[in-house]
Amino acid sequence: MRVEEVVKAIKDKFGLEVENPYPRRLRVKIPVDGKSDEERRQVLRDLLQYAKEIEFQHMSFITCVDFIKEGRFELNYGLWSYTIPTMLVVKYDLDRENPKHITVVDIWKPAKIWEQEVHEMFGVEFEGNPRSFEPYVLEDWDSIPPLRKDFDPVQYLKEHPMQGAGYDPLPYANLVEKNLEQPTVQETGGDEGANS
Amino acid sequence: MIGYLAPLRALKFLFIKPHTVRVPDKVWPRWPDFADPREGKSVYRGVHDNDWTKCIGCGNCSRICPAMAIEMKEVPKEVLDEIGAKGVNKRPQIDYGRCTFCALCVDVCPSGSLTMTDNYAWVTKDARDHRYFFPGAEKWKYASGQVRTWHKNPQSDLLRPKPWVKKPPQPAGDTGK
Amino acid sequence: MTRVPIRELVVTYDFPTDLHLGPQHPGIHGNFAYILKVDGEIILEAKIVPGYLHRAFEKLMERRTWINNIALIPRVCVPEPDVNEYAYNAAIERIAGWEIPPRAKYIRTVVLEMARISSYLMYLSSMGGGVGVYPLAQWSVGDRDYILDLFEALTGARVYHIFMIAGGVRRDIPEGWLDKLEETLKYLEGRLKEYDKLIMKNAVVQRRLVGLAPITPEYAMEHGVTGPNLRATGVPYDLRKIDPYAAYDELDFEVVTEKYGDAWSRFMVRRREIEQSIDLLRQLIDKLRKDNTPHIHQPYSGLAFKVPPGEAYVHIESTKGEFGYYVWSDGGFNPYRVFVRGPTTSHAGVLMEDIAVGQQLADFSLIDGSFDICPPDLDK
Repeated sequence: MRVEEVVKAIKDKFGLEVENPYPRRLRVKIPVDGKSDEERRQVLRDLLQYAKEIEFQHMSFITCVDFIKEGRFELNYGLWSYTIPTMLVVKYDLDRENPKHITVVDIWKPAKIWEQEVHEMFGVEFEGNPRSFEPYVLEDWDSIPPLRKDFDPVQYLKEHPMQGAGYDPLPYANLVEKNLEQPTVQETGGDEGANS
Repeated sequence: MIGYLAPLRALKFLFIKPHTVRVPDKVWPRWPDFADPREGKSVYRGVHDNDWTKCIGCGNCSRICPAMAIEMKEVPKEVLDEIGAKGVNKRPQIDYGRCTFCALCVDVCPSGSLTMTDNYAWVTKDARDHRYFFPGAEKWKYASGQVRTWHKNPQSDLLRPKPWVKKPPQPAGDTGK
Repeated sequence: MTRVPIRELVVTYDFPTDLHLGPQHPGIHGNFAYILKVDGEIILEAKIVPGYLHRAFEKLMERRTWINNIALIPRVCVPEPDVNEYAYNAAIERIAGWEIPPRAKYIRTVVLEMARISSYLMYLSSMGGGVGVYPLAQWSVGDRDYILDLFEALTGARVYHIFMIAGGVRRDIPEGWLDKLEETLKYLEGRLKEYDKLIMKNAVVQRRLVGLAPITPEYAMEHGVTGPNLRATGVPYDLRKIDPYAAYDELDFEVVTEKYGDAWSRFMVRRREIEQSIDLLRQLIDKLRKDNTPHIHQPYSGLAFKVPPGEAYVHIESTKGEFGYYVWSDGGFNPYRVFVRGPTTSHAGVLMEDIAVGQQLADFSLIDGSFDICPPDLDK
């Protein structure tokens, strides 16, 4: 099966537009369009099941991006085919205030661990995957999920002072704030590049 | 049966010279000057060195450092006027607890005064010395070593680089250092 | 002092019991822990405990500029740092639409292949430690040092090179380096013959590794296995051939596969890929001698570097599996989001928990080593 045939098959079966921005990369977005959550979840599950039947053999990743200005999380499901060959990224939007979602572990096995990571870093709840509610790399974490854009590590550092450090790290944390301002190239008055 | 006797072939290594480097038997390292047995190669990124007569105190190195290891500190004007330096009376101070030795600071220095040397081992008596390293000041000259290795040149310039000029192909059999 | 009869000093466990194969263990490579449920010597369940190497890279990368991140990136994977540098910079170039000059591609491929050889030698060393044949462990690490010396002469540092930058590489090859590379390759070929005579034909090594934890291609692809582990089951899937990047579409090589999918096949796939890398490096040396294009795409300032908005995913065939970087940019001085896809996440999280069931406890460290579980890219 070729890449063009995949684009056509998904358009015929689900009515979704597939983009092809770079060679061997396909992107498809499941639009909101006034549908309810149940219908969109069913479309997502059907699409992932269909991809498994046409030659996508490998689930690469499940990850999430926090678009705080638009108030949404965007989940990305990455599937890879060795024989076509192409990558297909399925994008799905979730509401940022109430990120509840359903698992796909019964269709693709590697989702077991990727959903655990997304839950810990962003707070998305995957119902049906009990493993995803356990902590992944952070134990006894007591604040909001850390990869969200409104988590400020400098604020966290001020509230939880580090014990046992040889020096106070807070002045260095403030230098990071200075890095976030737009850097300017300073015009210099000295002599030009002394080359070797 | 042969498979169980095969390890006896290893006995020939008793008569072959090993390829490890032998550290000299003197007390090593001695402070403040010590001789290390193996220098870094010609583009090694080791301890920094700054030429205070060429440095203008602009702060580019401090701005690009990814680990926030460089701070610009005020130096009294008399010290700088003695050696004949121009520019702002600030000089970079490096905290080696945070430095990653990436050499981005060397590549954005406009005057090319900051370089890196081939020294990778440094011993002092005070445990906090590594945080206040002032490359180029009199007190710290011993730590930098003598050979400048990674210095800014037109290939690695990141400040105002010019389009790179083609060089002729290298002939085979030309061995350098 | 009372005397206690010896029979009362024996401690008994109620099997099945939990065994913590904790983060400090000479058989586990890296800071990684397992909780095993054992019944005597047989393992009933296995569960991973990640998190000892979590350094918060994804959050840190959002708070530093695009050029600052190249100093942070190699530290994600310790044995093979160049894979990270390549993937991050290739994602930036893809978003910006840059075509990099051929010399930069060849130099990047040389660095990637040398990192492959040094990472495979490290794998041989850890397998030597696991099986118990310590000459293999010491010889591989000693031979890897010649490659690290070459890296030092080219890039300036031995392990964390920080050599690739958006648009190409930071410096061109110094004089006489290509000849030193040829000498080292000839030396390594001679050493591989020594390894074969002493270790691959050793009966004890073969008895321990042949037939250990076999997997079929369907089982492997269902569990998300990639890289040399998948090629050891018999399917010729290599990302350098299927989704070519850098200079691999101009090079001539064949995919290395083995038949049975057990620990011995995984071991031999990696040992044969060292020879493949030596051959690829010889082809690249010839191409580099004839080429004289620039080593970087276009001049830019390191202090004010912006990338236009967009997103891109680049994945690479690393020695551990499929290593990918997904980069989102919103047009500013900092990346918007960087996602690191580590190969060990599916190997350790999905595969190890299923394949360890029913194995002997003494073989567990070998199974873990033969799949090349490397925790830094799982914890990030």
